[in-house]
Amino acid sequence: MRSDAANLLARLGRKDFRYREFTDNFADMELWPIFEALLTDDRIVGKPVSALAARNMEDIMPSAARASAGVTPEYGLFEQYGTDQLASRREKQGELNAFLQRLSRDDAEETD
Amino acid sequence: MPLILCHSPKGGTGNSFVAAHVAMHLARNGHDAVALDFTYQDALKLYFGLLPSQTLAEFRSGGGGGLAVAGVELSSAYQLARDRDFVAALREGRTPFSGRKIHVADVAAGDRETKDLLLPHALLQICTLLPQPASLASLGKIQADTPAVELPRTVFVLNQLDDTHRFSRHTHIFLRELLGDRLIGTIRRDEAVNEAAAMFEPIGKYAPASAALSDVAQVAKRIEARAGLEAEADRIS
Repeated sequence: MRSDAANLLARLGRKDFRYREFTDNFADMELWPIFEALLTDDRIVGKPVSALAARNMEDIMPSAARASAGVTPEYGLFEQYGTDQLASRREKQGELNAFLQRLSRDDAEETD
Repeated sequence: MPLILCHSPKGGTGNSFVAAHVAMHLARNGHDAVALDFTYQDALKLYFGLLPSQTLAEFRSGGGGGLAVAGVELSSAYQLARDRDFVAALREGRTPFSGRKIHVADVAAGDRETKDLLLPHALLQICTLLPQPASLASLGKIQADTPAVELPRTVFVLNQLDDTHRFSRHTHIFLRELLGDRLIGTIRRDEAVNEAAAMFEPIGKYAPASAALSDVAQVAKRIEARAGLEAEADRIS
């Protein structure tokens, strides 16, 4: 149980709550077809990935690879979007962009 | 150009709710905030605690005439967006949003014409999304010539987030990764938003402990910072 939830329940003196955390990391996330459709849509991502690549979420989303490798995610589902975390966001956006650019280069090399 | 444009390509996402709370946040922080309702539905006022029958005065670029609620000057701008002179002025690059007032425009999802008219004059566009497939699909419709993840002045808000629902959680994770820091925040699903509007009360009065209220306050704060308006607020105070 999260400590803030435990503290709250202790303060309320309630022991009859059922506690459940609704958290997912990338390893638990399903690649819904709508997500795949977004990743292959040039109106959304500019240079879209191929349908095959889009099915491999761990390649596209670096956090997914870290999560499935047992590395603790850098941020949790309940985090706030404070300015101190913006740098981390930019880094992740950069990773996705880098991946998309790499895919684009790979495609170009294959067609050469 | 002190204009913040609230427009989502899919309706019913909470665009007016976000617009109202951004305007109220700016007013609380010492800005001269003007909220402009460009929609035919005329629902922005409900989030200020007004009644559907209360008519808003039309916006005048010189200022004044709007109804002052929660420190915000609230005006209708639906007819204005159809005024030839106003449209011509905007197309010629002349902005009626001058002076120190910060204008927050609530534009209906289907009214792309007004959105395209206002966008060049906006500091920022706020696009509110829902964790629903139809809303996600609309990401491809934000702007014709630029991919959604590359829009320089557009930020996204994920509204009605419910962590007890699987697709809602997964959408949050996915959008966080796809949009990076363009996803400026999330607002939890909270029935208090509906209940407050039904009571004709601002949510801050009806349910001050509301989860959605605390989330939208965070979102508004980040929007103020992203639009570069924090320094202006410091200067005013």
